[in-house]
Amino acid sequence: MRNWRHRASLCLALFLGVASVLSACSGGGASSGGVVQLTFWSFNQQITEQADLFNKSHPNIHVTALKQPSGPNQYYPKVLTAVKAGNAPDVALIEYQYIPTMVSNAALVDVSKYGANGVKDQFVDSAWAQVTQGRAVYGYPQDTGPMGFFYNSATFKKAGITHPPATWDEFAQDAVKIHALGPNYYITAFPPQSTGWFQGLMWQAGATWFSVDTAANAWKVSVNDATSKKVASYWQALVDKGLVSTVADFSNDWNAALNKGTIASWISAVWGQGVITGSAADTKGQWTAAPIPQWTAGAKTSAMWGGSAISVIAGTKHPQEANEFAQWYLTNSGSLSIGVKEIGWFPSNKTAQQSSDVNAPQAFYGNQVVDTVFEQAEIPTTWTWPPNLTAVNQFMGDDVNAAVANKTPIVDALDKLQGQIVQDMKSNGINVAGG
Amino acid sequence: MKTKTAPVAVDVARPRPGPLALLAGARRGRRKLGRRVVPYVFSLPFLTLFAAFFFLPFAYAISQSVFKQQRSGLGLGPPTTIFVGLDNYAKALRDPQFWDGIKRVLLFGAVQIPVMMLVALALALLMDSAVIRFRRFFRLAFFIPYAVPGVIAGIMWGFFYSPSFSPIRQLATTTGLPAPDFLGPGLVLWSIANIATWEFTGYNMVIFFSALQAIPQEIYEAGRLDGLNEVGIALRLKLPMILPALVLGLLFSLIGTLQLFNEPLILTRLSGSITSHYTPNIYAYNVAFVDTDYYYGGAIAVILGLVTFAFSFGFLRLTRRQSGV
Repeated sequence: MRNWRHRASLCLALFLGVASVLSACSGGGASSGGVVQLTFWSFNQQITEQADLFNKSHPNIHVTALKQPSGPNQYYPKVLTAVKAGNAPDVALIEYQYIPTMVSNAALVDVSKYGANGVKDQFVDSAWAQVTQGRAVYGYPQDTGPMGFFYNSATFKKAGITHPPATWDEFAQDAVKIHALGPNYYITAFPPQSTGWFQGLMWQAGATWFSVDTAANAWKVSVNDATSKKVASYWQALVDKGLVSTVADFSNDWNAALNKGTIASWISAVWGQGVITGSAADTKGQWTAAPIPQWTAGAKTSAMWGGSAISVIAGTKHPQEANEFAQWYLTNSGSLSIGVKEIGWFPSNKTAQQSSDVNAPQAFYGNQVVDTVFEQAEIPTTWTWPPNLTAVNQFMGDDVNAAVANKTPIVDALDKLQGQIVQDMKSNGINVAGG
Repeated sequence: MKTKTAPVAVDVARPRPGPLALLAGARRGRRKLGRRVVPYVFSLPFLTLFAAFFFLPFAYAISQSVFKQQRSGLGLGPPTTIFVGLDNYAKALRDPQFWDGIKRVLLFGAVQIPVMMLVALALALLMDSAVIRFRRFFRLAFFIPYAVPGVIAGIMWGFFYSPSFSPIRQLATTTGLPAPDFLGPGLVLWSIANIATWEFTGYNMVIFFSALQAIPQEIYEAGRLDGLNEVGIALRLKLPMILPALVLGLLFSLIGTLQLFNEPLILTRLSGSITSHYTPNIYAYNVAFVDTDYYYGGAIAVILGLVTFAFSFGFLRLTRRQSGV
């Protein structure tokens, strides 16, 4: 009898448990006691400090900041799925390249109707252009990601290299010298799964994978043009000769190699400085930032890898308050200071860009003022991000990975990718020029 | 605990239906009704969970799979959702990436399942024989990997396979042997198979072992009298008697293989050889959530469910005699 009662209560508990889990799914976005509750997603750790600051000065709004994993094909699928499921955050960080994809999934709120244009002058024009589409404004520009070259000067010196490679030719020669230090020494890694990185290198070389043919109201896709194939062949040669590692960036193996100095450089964006500080703590003082190597000697051409906006996400019950937070987040001096000093933004806010935080020397980089290296970068403006970037990156990851793993030509992977992207656009009903 | 239930008093009230008897009849009716309802009440928790976590998601996937997102122009406006009937199913059946995944998991199963079953069976027979000491310890030790979540197992084995951390590779290098590339295109499928074997051998062993324990000892006695040695008893008595358990283990393994997901997904980050369509489940996941084509992803998931069902059902038909099902 006791046994039976025990079981019955267990069943009841289980049943209630399930019921409460099911009902918990339908919560979110509620306002309690006149205080509007907002959630904010980003993949920066320090966002809780910024949210605390906001909450202190805004008694009627409470922002809960939740750090999200930033892995490839993790964050944006999560945001889009949450939008579809109706439990999306009110405000979220969206990298510029994903804005068209988010807009085409109706995931962003046009904040121009909440007075976004009133703060337009506080931001750098080129960054503001990244968040606008026609008259619509899809967020506020947080930071930009001009690319440069971080290298471990200790390893370079050991290999007898005295200055960073100014051109890609020099880079290839240096690769030989560094690999001569030992079989585990590589000038850098060619991470075949890192789509945004490789796209940045294509962009820097002058390729324009995606652009709009306004007359035809259609996309022009040129993934496998001569410039892109030149870049692919260049890296192919380094991979074939075993002069670069093919380990995935941000992986444990990659972190360990950076920390040991056996992967001696990283072609990365300005935000990469914070990543190296975390991954390669033992090499403090050895790193230096330099401009990205050039295809033409004397040029200053770079590209963007990442850079983010803070957007209001569709489905929010409080767009007004969400916009207030997003705007505050990138115009308030306290918030900007945390962003620049602790997160490592290269801010799009003009006042923050002039601040002493941005132009401070950094001990990890031998007291170099890192950000000034990136300020001279000239970035071609023709590259436009397509509305199906998640699909593009999925194809690209598969194709380039397969080429490296199976030792087949990367240029063939570009041909395949071109076909896949055009087909995906067409099957979605998107106009593609010349197809 | 054998308590004799008292005869129900109202049962005697047969003759002359007075008011009391009427009342009794009503009570009896209620009791009957109660008897009829009780089984349903008891199966309610199961049915609720079954509906919430199996039936409703499946129905939802089916309901999504007949739609498609349609864009226009530059694709920068919000999409419209249109009904396309069975188009997504037709597309999946012609999709080489989907079938590529199915073929891969079948190859995986053809090798991994027999290996795992043989090891599990051998361990179970050893446990059941008299030669083993510390039986409880070993039983637990072999079972522990099953208690480790698949994701954690993937991460852990990822370290064993990784180019710079792998102790196996380091051992090979120090002894002058070529270090195996566990995550390369040639080996990665079998590296995943190794994780699955590590995880589930103990689980199958416990199923087989408990089936062995249920065999009455007299049968062995009879076998010995007929001149069987220990090996003979194992092969000619024990094995045939636990066939239903073997069939069950094989069935679960077959289903698990077709649904392969966690381990390859975790290793994706480490191995360039694991594509976004490596297994059908990974493909469905990537189509639905990375490519945000929930509709086509739903169709792939439904087809995978049907393929799994067909394989399981076919397998049960094939082994009907052995399994007793």
